[in-house]
Amino acid sequence: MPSDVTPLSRWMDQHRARMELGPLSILIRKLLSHSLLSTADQEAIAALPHKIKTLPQGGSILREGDQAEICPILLSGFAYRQKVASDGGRQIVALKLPGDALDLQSLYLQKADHDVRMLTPAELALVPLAAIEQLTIARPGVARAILIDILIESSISREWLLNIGRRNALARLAHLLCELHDRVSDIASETSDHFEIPLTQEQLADLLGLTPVHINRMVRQLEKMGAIGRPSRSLTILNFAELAKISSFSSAYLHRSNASRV
Amino acid sequence: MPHYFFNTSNGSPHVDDAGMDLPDLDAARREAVRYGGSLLSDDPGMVMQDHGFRIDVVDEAGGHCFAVRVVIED
Repeated sequence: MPSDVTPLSRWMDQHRARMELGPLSILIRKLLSHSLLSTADQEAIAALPHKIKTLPQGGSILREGDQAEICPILLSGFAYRQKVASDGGRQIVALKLPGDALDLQSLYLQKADHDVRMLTPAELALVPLAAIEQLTIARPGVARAILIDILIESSISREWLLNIGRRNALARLAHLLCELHDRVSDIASETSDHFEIPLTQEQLADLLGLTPVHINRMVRQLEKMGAIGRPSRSLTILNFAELAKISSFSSAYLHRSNASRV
Repeated sequence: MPHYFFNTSNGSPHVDDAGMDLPDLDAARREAVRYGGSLLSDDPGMVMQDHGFRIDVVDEAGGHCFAVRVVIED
């Protein structure tokens, strides 16, 4: 392999030529964003048995205490993980994008410890956990990619702890938007400088641990700076560089170039 | 549910154009204190002005409901 070609781009190009792999292509693309997968590995993932299911906005696919038998793969739309305190206070603890597997932890843990719901109307592929487990036993490359996917999600969780615990409100919001910008870029079929983020201000409040009025104030401030726009009830990122400056954003925790290191 | 707006002045002037639905005035008082606490935790300097930090809460008709003030007394 010539040194001026990164393995990542080469493998991604191979994958783009293979988009006929069906609905699970988007999961393969997500895994290829951080892991190397052979052609045979990719074909084996594409051949996983699955049922397609659509859910409306707010629809639930996993509840705390469930003993899951399927792993939902998000094909389109956004989803989130939430935990609810005894007084009803809700915290959104993760955001999931198209291509994300929503419940890999139930491969190895018996009971769900949080809820998974749809942020937008969504399309899911429901894959039996047993089929994924068999695949990980048969194919170490797939097992490694799934492990890396889980490790990166926990890295994102650590960054969110820092974000909520130690950054001021403006930087907290700007940092989240930068992260979503980069994560959407990784799975988007065409690149764009402008991204629509389908989060309402109430959801941002539950995600960032701020009051809705405080969120509105920070949104207004970023809007005045020209960093974001508000076309409807969602937000649009207009100036990533400005948001990155406000939040001192570094994407190292997303491990986006992980595959090229191997 | 009544709708309340939370405007801040002095250390940190901002007119709230979105507001929030809340069950009653008592809930609005709690929300105002929580909002103020969150702003001040980010920037305690907001209180260091001549007249301290102030949140005025108004209802949908524009009527003044109450104010929350935080001042330092030497």
